[in-house]
Amino acid sequence: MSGGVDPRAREARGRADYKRYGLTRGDPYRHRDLDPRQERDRALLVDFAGVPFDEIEEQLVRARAAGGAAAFLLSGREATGRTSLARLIAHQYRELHELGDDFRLVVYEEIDHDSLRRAQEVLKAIRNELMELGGWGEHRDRLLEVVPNGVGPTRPEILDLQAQAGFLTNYMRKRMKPPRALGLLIEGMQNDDFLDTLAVVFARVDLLVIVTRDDYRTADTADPDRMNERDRWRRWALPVQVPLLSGDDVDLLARNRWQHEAPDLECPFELSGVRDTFGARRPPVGRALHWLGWLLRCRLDEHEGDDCWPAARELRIPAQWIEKRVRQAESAPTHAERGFRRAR
Amino acid sequence: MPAELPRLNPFPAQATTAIEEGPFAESYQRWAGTTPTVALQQVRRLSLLVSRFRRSHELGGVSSGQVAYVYGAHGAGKTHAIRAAVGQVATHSGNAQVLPLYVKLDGPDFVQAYRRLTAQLSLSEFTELVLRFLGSLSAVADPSPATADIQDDLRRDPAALLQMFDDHLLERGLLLEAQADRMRDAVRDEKNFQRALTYLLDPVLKESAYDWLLGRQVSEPELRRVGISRQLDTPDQCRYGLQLLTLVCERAGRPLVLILDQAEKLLLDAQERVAPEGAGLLHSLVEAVPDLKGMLVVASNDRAWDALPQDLRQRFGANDIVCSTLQPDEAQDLIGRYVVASFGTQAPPGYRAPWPFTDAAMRKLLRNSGGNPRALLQLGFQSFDGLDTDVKEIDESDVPDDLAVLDREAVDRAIRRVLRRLGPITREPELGFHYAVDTPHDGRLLIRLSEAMFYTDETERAEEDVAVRLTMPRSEAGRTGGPATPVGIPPRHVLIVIGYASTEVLHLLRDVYDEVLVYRDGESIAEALAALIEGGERHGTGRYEQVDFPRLYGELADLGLDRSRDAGELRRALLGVNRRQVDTQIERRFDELALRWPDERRRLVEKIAAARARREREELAEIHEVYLTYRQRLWFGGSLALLLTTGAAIVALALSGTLPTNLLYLVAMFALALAFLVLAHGSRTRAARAGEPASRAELDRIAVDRVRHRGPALWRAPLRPFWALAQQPAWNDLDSGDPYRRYGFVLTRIRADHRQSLRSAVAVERVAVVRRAAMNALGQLTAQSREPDLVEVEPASRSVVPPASAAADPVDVELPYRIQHERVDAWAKIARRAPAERLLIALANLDRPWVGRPEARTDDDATASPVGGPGRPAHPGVVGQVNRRVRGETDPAILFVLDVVRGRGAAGDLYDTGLTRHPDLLLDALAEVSEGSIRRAAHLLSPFTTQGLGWHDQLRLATEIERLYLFVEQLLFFRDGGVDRGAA
Repeated sequence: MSGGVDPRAREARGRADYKRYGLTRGDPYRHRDLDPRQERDRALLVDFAGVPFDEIEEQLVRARAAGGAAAFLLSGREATGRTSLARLIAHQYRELHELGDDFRLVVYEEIDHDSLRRAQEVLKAIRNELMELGGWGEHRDRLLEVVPNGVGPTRPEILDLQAQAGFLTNYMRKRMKPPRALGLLIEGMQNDDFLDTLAVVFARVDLLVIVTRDDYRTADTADPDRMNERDRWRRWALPVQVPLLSGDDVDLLARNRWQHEAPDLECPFELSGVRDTFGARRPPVGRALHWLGWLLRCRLDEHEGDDCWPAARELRIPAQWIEKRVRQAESAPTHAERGFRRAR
Repeated sequence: MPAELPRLNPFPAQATTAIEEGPFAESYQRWAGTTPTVALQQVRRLSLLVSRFRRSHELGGVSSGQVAYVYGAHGAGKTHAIRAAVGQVATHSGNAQVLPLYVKLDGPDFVQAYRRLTAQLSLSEFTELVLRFLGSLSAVADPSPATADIQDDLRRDPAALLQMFDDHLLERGLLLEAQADRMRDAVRDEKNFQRALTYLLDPVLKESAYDWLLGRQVSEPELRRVGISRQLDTPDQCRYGLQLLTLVCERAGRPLVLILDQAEKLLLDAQERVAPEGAGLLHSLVEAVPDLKGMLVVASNDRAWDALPQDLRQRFGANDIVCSTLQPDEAQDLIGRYVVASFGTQAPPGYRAPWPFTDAAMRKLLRNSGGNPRALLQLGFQSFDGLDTDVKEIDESDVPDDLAVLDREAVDRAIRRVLRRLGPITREPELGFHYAVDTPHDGRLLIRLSEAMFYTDETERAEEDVAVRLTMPRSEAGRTGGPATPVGIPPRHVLIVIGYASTEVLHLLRDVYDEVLVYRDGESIAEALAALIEGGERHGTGRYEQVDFPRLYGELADLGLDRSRDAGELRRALLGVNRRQVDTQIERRFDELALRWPDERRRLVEKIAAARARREREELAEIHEVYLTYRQRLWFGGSLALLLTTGAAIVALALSGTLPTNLLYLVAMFALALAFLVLAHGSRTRAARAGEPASRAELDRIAVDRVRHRGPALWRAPLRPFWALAQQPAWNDLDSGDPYRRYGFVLTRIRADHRQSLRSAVAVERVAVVRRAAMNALGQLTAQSREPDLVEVEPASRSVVPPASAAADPVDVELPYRIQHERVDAWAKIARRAPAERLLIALANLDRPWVGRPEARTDDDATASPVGGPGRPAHPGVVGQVNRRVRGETDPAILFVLDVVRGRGAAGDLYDTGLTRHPDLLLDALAEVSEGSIRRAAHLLSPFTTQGLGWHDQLRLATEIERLYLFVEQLLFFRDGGVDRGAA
């Protein structure tokens, strides 16, 4: 959470004394990307209903058997946990292929509507990673020779890129000592032909490729209808819709995080209220955490006495109160539609 | 009178206003510090429009767009007027800071103009606008914890939005979706514009996005990278760009004022004909910009304005602003302003314009400048420049003829030169005419030269000119003097006035002559004559046949009288005397607007009728919908019961074995078939749907019928003995599920003891028609019960009537139907109601003479405690302070409407008599009341908003309310059109 945005919220956060809830490490509902390689983070991963874990595993196994690329397209709204899911898939891939700790995930997130050029940039990102892994000196010239710097005078040809991708994977497996393994995480896709391009470029290699996509109808994210008209990528990648949370999911999330921070204490939320309130709203996981943390803070601010949870029963967060506060917060600024010119 | 002339030349040598295409407000402040502005009519009217535009955004209600078209000759002060008017408003410190963007068009290339317009916004300004635009959508598109705080933060620092995206406080995708949604109305090619706006916020791509938005060339690879399919380089796309900018600015709280100067460059081609592309562009802009709540100001010469197609001119409504030639008093004022400004803070005491010019010098200035402000100032500069040091006054001889040599001989020579180019000329062909020219295509021009006309002698000269024209016989064939023209093509009569003529006189003379030209220089005369010849060949002439000479003389005489009166006034020569001129301008506007008003009124009436019809349709559809649901349920229940009963009977018969099995089956089958028939009948909703009442009258008939005849005749017959009971049942139909029956009951069967049940029915009723009728009935009942005893006030009814502030209650919508019956005996009893309700009650109680006015009750005053008692300081005169001791209406809008309807004051007279030929009554009426009050009155009476009384179509006073509304709208129409002394 940033500190520089919201003076009032910051003030409230400063005042909120989480020790009253028996929490020694502050707000248990902080939102951040999780990395499953860390033991601590792994415990925070929750199996939300609606995420097709089985299909993902199947795709990983199938790709390993066929010796081809294990490709995924994760579509979802912001803060639905796409990145955490991608890291989880990478973790599974690593375990499946029995790779060591030096397995790296190359993250590429530049915006480019020109799919061919973007694919080329992705290859350069792999190249750079390999050069860095190889300690620069040894492999630098060879890699630069195959994947040169700069943009050529003509646009890249897709099959040239395919050859480069093949070279790079071979190079890291066979020529580098010790052999290396990389995965690719490409954040965001702007054009609907990007996956088709990737499907050709990475057709002949055994690599983990995960692409995330913002699931909105805006001009800076690939249009789902146009993507459905294409079918090459469907044979290559597994489309995964990262779901919004149901009421039960939020309930699970609230308990899980609480247990992690304060295993001996009862979770103060009245869980039926959490289910009802958020079941109707279906927030992304990030937003759900935000709401939970906010509710907890509000409750702390309202509490007057000095005693602590669970002895202080007023600190319990009842269902009606949750619904009331959330509705109030949502409808507070009726003037906002008018923009910024409310008379002050 | 000061003895010393100013040391430095007070007048500008160039007298041009150039607006830098940069930050408008700053350049205005520099400019305003050095340039005096005379509040000519064009400045005043444009200021009014711009400030009205700004206010409408500041108040935050239904903000609206605005258009204006300023036209006049070169140097008539168009750009000056725009700069002064828009500058004043743009530097106004308020909540809604307008954002003026100015461009001087220099050719038909609109893309070029677009580039120069948008280049005035820097990347950071553009980004801020877009951030504010996005931020304004956040509360609605993506409600999240602490939304209110987020709003405040964004208002302070729009860049915080990006941080909020990163922190997932706001969902970027949802806001972008909402933004795309808003943009759909403003632009086509929306994907490109959406990407440009989106990537304006991206640290890497913002330069490319910005360059593209500004219409600059972006390299192909870069364009592919931001996903934009082509360069922004067609006029149409540029138009969308401007529309988008208007939308963004409005949403960002910086309403856009778009100024296109020298629009003739865009609108006319090289041959001075209307350029279809330019006119098409303007047409689109003038519709789209105000729609998107921006303001469009267009300035051009008068030729472009005249050439515009009628429908395009109409789009500007009453907001066409002409920059006419200077009147003598205005010219004096102008000279005076510059002289005073040159003295700085030590303005000479007792200064009177036009010192240092003598009156004769002033006349010469006016004549030689042709009443053109720029030429006048340039001449002033030159006269001052050539002076000796010891001169105390500037005389006629000091005013040079340089700008336009306008002595009679020189003009004669110049005109002969021009005419010779057209064809062979004859001197003195007819009495009063000086030249005749035979044009190549058998046409003939008769030319008369006339001296400059102004002021007291202008009508005499004009009369002379009219007389000359009058002596000309209708058919010229076979007349003496010059070669005879062929029969069928009559000669055309042209009057050339040397130097100056006032607009009114020109207007009159144009009725008599085919063309009246004002001589400035030979070139323009040559052009005008060539155009005349060409135009005549296309259209032919002959319009002077209908000239009504007696009327003309009458008008000239009026004008003369007017002028001689004014001349006396002028001699008194006070600084800033311009009321007369304002009046004549007002009269002109009035005549113009009076012609337009019937159309406007018809449009309004049609709009009201359409709104009414729509409301009626909705109401009828609603009640019928409820009825259908009810009916379906009823039939379903009935048929189910029937089925069960017959089933039970058949089982009983089967068990008892009284019937043979075959017969039993038969009976069972019959029963089943019957039940299905009933069910099928009940579900024939299509037939029932078609039975929706077509009008309110039919609805009433159906409803009354429904109550009077309960059930089919077959059932009624045996019940006849209970008829009387059925007429007055102990239960009442308010609880019925059938909305028609409920409605009919309220219409016909309400008795005094139903009040309680009515009240509870109103609380739960969902059908608007019934609720309305119930409210009406309640009101009637209350009024009846109160009539005998005025003091009695029901405690219960008090509690039912919600306080004025609680507008959220749906019952409030129908409240007027109830209170229209209310009889008040003291204004204080209703003083706390909402204004619209107060107005309605007042209108319903007009027969009580004290209604609306403060009651003089001295006895109360004596007993009441003084306002300024201990601990309660008095705040006399503080606006908004409610003084409870004043028992009477205080809202000026309501008082105004009451005066109108009672026929009091000028407004009342106008309401009774209708529009008169002279604007005096209208002006008096407008002077009686502030603009705000009229607008508020229009709001209170409006048939288009739920808060307006006109919304309620079935009020007893509905016709009167509509008439009042139209009257108020009429006042506003004229006022907005410029007929108002208060605006001066």
